[in-house]
Amino acid sequence: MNIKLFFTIICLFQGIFMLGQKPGRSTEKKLDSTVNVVAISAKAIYALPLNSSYVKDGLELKVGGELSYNIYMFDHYLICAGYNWFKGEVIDKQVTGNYDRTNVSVLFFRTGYRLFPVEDLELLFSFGIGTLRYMNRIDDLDAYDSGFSYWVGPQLTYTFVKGIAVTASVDFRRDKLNIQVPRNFDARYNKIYYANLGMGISFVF
Amino acid sequence: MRRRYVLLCFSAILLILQSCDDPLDNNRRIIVHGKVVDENGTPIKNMDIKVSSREIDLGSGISTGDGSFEFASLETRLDDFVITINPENEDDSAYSSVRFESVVKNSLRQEINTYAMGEIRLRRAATLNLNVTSASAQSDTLHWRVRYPQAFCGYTFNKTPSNAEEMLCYPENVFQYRQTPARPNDQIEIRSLLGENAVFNYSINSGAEEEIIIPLNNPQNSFTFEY
Repeated sequence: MNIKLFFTIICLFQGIFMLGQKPGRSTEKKLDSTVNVVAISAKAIYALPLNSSYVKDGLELKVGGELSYNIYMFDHYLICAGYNWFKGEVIDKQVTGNYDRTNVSVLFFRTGYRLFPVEDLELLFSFGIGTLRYMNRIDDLDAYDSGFSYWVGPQLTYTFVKGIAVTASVDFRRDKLNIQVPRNFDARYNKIYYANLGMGISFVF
Repeated sequence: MRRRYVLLCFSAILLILQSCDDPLDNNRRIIVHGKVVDENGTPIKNMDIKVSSREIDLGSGISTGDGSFEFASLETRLDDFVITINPENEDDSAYSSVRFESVVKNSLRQEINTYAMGEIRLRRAATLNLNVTSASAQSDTLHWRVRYPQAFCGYTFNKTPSNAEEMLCYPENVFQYRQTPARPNDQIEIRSLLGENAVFNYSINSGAEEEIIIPLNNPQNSFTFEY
């Protein structure tokens, strides 16, 4: 379901990109405010839980990934759709409930503004929001926790070869879950804060 | 004809999808807390507590040094819902087992997020190693049985376990057997309660029945009957 939605959004974005294109202007895209620039990014992410929560106390999180489709408009403005995920192994079932592992995934939309402090280097400030699912697995059974996620943070991108760039980012992320728990446990189960560290590669078209 | 076949297949697929529905509740945790003590009110530490539904373990916890426990558990869409203290009831466990079984359906449990168990008293358990051996060369037949209270207590509860009603506590169990010349000896281990008695009845060659009381005064007890 999420994957279908992801590809639908990508198609919409591709439509936006095509609308912004002008014939005969495919080169010299950078800093040309009349042309949209597309970048496809793949990133490794590590979510570092910050607050006292069932995630911090009960799960050991693994490195995950992020795929995104980015359109830069008017040189500076970003709109982006993407999907990120990471896994967690349960280390304390008294905190989590009886399951063995969880897959955390977010289907997101992101917008931002970028600056070019020096040549080949860009600094992007972005805000992202997405639908969230923690898919918990015990043997062959599933139970999910859902909600939404939003984050803000800077990203540095360095273009080292024409059309290929490396990126590094730090996001402050908040997951708002909808788990039904006693009221005094709400913060522990439904408000999870992360520092999301990311590093990856971007292909600019 | 073809249309009916397609409809049939579609219905079958729907049925399969329905039956594959996971029994676990989404977006749900319940908190279970309480305290485990022995007959004298002394806290019991490292005691296992389990929440289950049919064969599915939903959550588990362990008591701390002061006997208290608090843990999160998943919930289920099934009606069965059981909280067990000392669930394994293994032979080497020093305490009895207690089981709390919910009698309300899942739909009525939807609003319950906390299960306050209160103070749960466990009795000390005892094991009896019973040996039956033939001491004579004669071809005697021995009928025997042993009766003892089981180290188990069951309760039912409506919405909160603190108002649980006793359903079946320390029920008597009977183990009986017949020794023949083909199988003159036997050995069993039973698990019961410390301070209780096991009652051994026997009859040789269909003669008058005799009774022996075996007091279970120690956590590990042994009794050998020779005939």
